[in-house]
Amino acid sequence: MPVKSELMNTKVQSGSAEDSHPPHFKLDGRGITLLRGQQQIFAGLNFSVSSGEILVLRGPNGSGKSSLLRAIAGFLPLTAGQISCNDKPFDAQRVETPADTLRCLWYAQADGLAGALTSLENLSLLPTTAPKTNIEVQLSRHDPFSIAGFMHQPVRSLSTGQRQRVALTRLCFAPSGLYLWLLDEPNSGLDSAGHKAFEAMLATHQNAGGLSVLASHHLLDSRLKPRYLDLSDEM
Amino acid sequence: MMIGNFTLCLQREALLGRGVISDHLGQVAFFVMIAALFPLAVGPSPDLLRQLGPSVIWISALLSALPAFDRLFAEDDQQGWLEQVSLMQGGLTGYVGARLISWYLLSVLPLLVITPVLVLLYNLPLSSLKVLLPSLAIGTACLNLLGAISASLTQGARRATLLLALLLLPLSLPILIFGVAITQSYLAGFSFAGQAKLLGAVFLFLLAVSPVATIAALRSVLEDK
Repeated sequence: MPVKSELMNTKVQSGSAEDSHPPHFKLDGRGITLLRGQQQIFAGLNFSVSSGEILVLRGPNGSGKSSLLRAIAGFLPLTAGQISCNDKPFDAQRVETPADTLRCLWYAQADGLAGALTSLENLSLLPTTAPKTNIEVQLSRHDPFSIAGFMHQPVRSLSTGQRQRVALTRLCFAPSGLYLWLLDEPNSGLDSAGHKAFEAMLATHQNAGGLSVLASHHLLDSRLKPRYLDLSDEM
Repeated sequence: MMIGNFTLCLQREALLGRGVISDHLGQVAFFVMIAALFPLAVGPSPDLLRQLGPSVIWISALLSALPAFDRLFAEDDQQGWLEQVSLMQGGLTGYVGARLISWYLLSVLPLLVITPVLVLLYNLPLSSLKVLLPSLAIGTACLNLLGAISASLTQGARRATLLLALLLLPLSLPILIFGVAITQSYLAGFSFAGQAKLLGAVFLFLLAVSPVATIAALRSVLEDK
């Protein structure tokens, strides 16, 4: 398959009017080439996303959206190119990290929820959260995806959409400014209320200086100022 | 913060433990059944049974552990938990540590509890338990460490169970040989220190090698998805 390499150098807006508390991160991918088996998915891809920005990967099935997300998370090794954060090589899976480095939160269809455990138990199993009771308290104050109704049900018994809402709720408990969200089709199974809640959650993350890269077939609310990277151009 | 996600993973294992305990009890039932087949097949001569006893108990422990290993990482792989832990502080290291500890406790403790029954079945002196139980405890720990390597290597493969057994059985021969030799030496009235040290050495070697190999294999599982 002939592969056209194209530079998609996207401009980075400066960290705007946010307070200087959270550190500023700029994640850069340069000349990324990925292979799946023997087949090249794309070559020479560039992307960039900074604190407070949302990058949406678009393209038909098989265009490599998920693969690029997996590559950023370090699951899939790069065949060529490199990913750097603030001009230093980025390793999402570094076992030990100083407190103010960028970390990743991952969402994909295989959502990491244990079917045998209740929604609440699953939410309590997060690196960034306090004990279960605190989560219950936090949820009673702020429940972005309205999961209160099935908090004590085993996740196995939930519908796909409900399960997805539990998995997305997990993202809300991490301090945004230090996290890069890598979301693979996060809004595919959501109803319109869920989609609105998802956009609100993205906005909160964004305002707190969080970074997001998501693969999605849906367009986002333009107020979020998402940037789109169309991977079908890269084939 | 070296601990990272280790305590978190242990917590998850504790929560999940309730649900899988029946699986592990099934494994123990399998252990007893294999061991109970031999007297029926070779005849009820007390002397013969006493000679065979230690070997049969060890082989049963080995065989009954085998079919369970393909579940060691399967669910966490399919449900996407491996991705989640990889990105936490502590990474796969904390996860594999917690997983192996809980797997050991759930699979081996019931087995040790039931072993005295088999000792009686095989007409072995009850005093032999004081060498048989510790050696089984260490031997099955070795087996679990080997099983972790094999399970992570075959995770996601077609016919993983068969492949896993073919990989694991030859590798577990030293454990079987040293383990049986300890109890047999004790029963014959000889010193079993040499065999015990060898089994201990195997354990320490596997303890150093197995987590590293398992983590590397799990990385490649994530790569292939």
